[in-house]
Amino acid sequence: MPVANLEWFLLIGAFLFATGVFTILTRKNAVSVLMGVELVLNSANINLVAFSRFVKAPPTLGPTSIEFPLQGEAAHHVYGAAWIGGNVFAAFVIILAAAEAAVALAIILGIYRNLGDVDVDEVTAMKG
Amino acid sequence: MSHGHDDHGHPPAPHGGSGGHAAHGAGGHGASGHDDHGHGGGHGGATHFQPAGWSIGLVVFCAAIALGGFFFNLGRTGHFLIGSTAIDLNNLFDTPWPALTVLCLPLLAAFVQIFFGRKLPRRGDWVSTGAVAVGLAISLLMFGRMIGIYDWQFSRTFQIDWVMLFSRVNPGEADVPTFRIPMGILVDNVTVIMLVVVTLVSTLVHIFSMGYMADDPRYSRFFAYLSIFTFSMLGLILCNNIFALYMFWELVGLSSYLLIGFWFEKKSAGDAQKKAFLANRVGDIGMFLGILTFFFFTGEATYQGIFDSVAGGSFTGHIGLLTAAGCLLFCGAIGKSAQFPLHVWLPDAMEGPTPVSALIHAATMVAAGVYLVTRMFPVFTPDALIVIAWFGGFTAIFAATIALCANDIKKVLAYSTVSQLGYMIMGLGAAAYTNGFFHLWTHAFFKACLFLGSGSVIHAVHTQDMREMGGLRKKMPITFWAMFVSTWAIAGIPGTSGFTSKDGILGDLLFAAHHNAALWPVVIFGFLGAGLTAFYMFRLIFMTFFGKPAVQEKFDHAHESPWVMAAPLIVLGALALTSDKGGWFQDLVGPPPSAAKQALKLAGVKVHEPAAHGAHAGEEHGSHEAIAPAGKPDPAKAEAPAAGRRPYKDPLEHEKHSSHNWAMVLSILVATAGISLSYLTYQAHVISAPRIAARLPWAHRVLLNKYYIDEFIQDYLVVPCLSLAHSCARFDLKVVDFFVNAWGHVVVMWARVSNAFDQKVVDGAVNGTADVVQSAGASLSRFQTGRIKTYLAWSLAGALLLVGGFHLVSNWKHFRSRPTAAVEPGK
Repeated sequence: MPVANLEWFLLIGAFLFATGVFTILTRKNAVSVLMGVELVLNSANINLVAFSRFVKAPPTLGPTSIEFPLQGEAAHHVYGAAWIGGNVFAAFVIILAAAEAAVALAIILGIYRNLGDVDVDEVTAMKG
Repeated sequence: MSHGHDDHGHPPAPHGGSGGHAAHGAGGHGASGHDDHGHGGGHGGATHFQPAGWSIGLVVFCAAIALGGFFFNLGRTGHFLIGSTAIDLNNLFDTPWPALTVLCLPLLAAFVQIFFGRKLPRRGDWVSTGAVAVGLAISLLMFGRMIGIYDWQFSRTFQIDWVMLFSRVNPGEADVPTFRIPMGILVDNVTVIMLVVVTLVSTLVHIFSMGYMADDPRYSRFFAYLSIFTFSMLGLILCNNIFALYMFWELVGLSSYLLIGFWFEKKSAGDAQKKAFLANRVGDIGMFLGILTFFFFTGEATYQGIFDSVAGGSFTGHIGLLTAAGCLLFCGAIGKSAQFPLHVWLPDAMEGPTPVSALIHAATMVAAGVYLVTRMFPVFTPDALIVIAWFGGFTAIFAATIALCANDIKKVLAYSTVSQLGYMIMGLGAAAYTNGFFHLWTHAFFKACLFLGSGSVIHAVHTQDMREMGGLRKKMPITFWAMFVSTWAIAGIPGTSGFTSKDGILGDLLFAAHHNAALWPVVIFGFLGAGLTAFYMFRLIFMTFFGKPAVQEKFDHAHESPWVMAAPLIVLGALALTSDKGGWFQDLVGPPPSAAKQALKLAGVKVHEPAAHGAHAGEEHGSHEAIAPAGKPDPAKAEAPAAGRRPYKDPLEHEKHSSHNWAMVLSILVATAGISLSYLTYQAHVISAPRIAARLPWAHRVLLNKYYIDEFIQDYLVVPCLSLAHSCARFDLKVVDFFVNAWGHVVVMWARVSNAFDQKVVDGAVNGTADVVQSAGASLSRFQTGRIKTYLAWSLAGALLLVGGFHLVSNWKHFRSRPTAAVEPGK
């Protein structure tokens, strides 16, 4: 029986991301494009949650990262076994996606009012 | 004045007919030019002076003597009553106002004359004349007061700080003046005597000019110039510091320049004025250097300050420099008083109107050099005094010899002036302080008289050439007698003023030469010059007034001058007859105490003689205190004017006695010889002058050409100077300008290169940048389709590229190291 490890989650995330991007690139309907965007966001969510689940140590983000006073084993004891930062990010992304959907739908409505259509290929007012 | 006389009904005819004079005035004489002054009746009506008889001249003379005597006596007694009000003149010298009034009135008159002169009645001559006449009255008051005080060391200074420089001596305290040049007036016996000389001669010349210049179109300007001159000369004698002296020195030079060239239509007058100005510049440069030397070493500008500082040792260890500074100062006198190398301007200055010659170039301005030496006497070292004596003595005989052959009446007088100035300078150089200055006083009057007399003669015969005159004695009695007695004075006939002063100089000179052998040649110059002076002056008189008329037509036109011209002659002629042996002048003018020591040293006498020194020790001290608080009168002196009778006593009077006796005998002898020779040559015709000239042709030629001094200066100074100037100009034009122009070309070429670089390279870069940006923008703008999906596709491609590239780069090591790693195990 295959063990559920990080690679599987990342593969699902990547697949989802590719699907989303493909949707965005191929669909002409603005609502479909929006749906593609949702797919991309959720692929990121899967990654975040997966990392949160599988990466136990606090990530070091380079020389400018916050200096945690404890490192290694000691950090496990003090900060707890599970690092919930990824989950928190995922929650933020979900909320952001909801807000983004609302705004995007409003924009789509605006486009529809102006052009009588929701075909994103027709919206070229920003052409240089 | 004149109109009243006209009312007597004298027609203009008696003096030769107005028609004839009008013809002269219209330019019949090219040579004498403006000296022609026909005063025909029909001329505008401004001035109708009638020829005077003895009566009017005498009346004016008596009035002048009475007026002058009145003012003199007012001053001498010191107090008088107007009604019941007592006027006290004892405090005449307690304020500067009398002297300042004398000084400023001519200046005011000059302004009035310049701006309003032509509109005033009589073209304003009364403004200038009145101003200087009031000055004369005040001067006579001061003169009388001086005689009343009778103190040889009388001196008053009134001064203000003219230039003050402040500096901070102690930090935190107020700035204090550390450098000051005072400006003020000094009134002492010398000043008062000079005041009388200047105002008296000036007044008489003003009056004379009313007649002499009557027909001149620039009549009012002439009086304006005379006023400017009078102001400048008064300032020169009143100021108390060398800087003011220098300013007024230049101002008298300016007025001399203006008046010599008064008839500037004549080229000769224009040349003469330039010559005078330039010759004076040469002397003044030296004088200015001398002034700066004294100021630099003593830090003082006032005469007294300089004397005190020099006596206090500011030149200690630099006695040679003090001598040099004195000689430099004397350069000014050489220029202004027409001493030997720079005398050339004075004879040419005779191009000016004759009253000007009398006032400026005989009596006053040319005496400024003598005044300078007198005033600065204490700073001259014995060596400097010997230099001065040599210059004076040589000039005295040098100019006298030139005068022997001159035929122009004014030129004779001009050279005699040079010669007499040489006498004064020579006297001062031989430490004859009193007599040298005394000769200035006497010479001013008799020489002014001679010049005014010559003006009167020229006015009558319309020529200056003595060979065209003759026999004028009967036609012009007043002029004749005035000139005749003045000639006695200048020739040194006993009983005249000139005899007294010249004899005094020669006596002192003889005494000095006894103690200093370097002065013996000067003594010989002096006595020979005295004989020559007697000769040529009597030659002038014989040729002009005696004998037969040379040109009958001119003789017929001759007439006695109007009384405005005759009266000054009478006054001056009378002054030539005053003799003052051992009188007030000798009592009141003495060398300053520090100078007396110099004089004694020069004479080889021990300075600390008890008889000579002890008598004056107290006085020295007193005078010092009197001068020190400037502007405040000494209370001790003001309280006891009667006790202030302190005449000067020459400490060497006894020693000099025999010298003076010898000098008197000798000078009478040489004067008699000169006069006799002159009589035999020009009156009795026993000796023939042309035959002597033919016997000594080279001497005659040299004298006629004035020793070729003018030619020498022209050929060896002026021409080299000009050619030097031309070479400098050529150097400037050719060499300096070449480099300047070459540099200009280099700069222009560099500018062209720089311009090309700017246009091509800098602008190219700027424009190229703009073009690149523009074309890049144009090509890149195609990517901005406005379609959101295109952007997304591009960013996706970019992201993939980045990730792929990043992966490639970060794992590069592995890509490279793989073959080597494969090779290594096989090694």
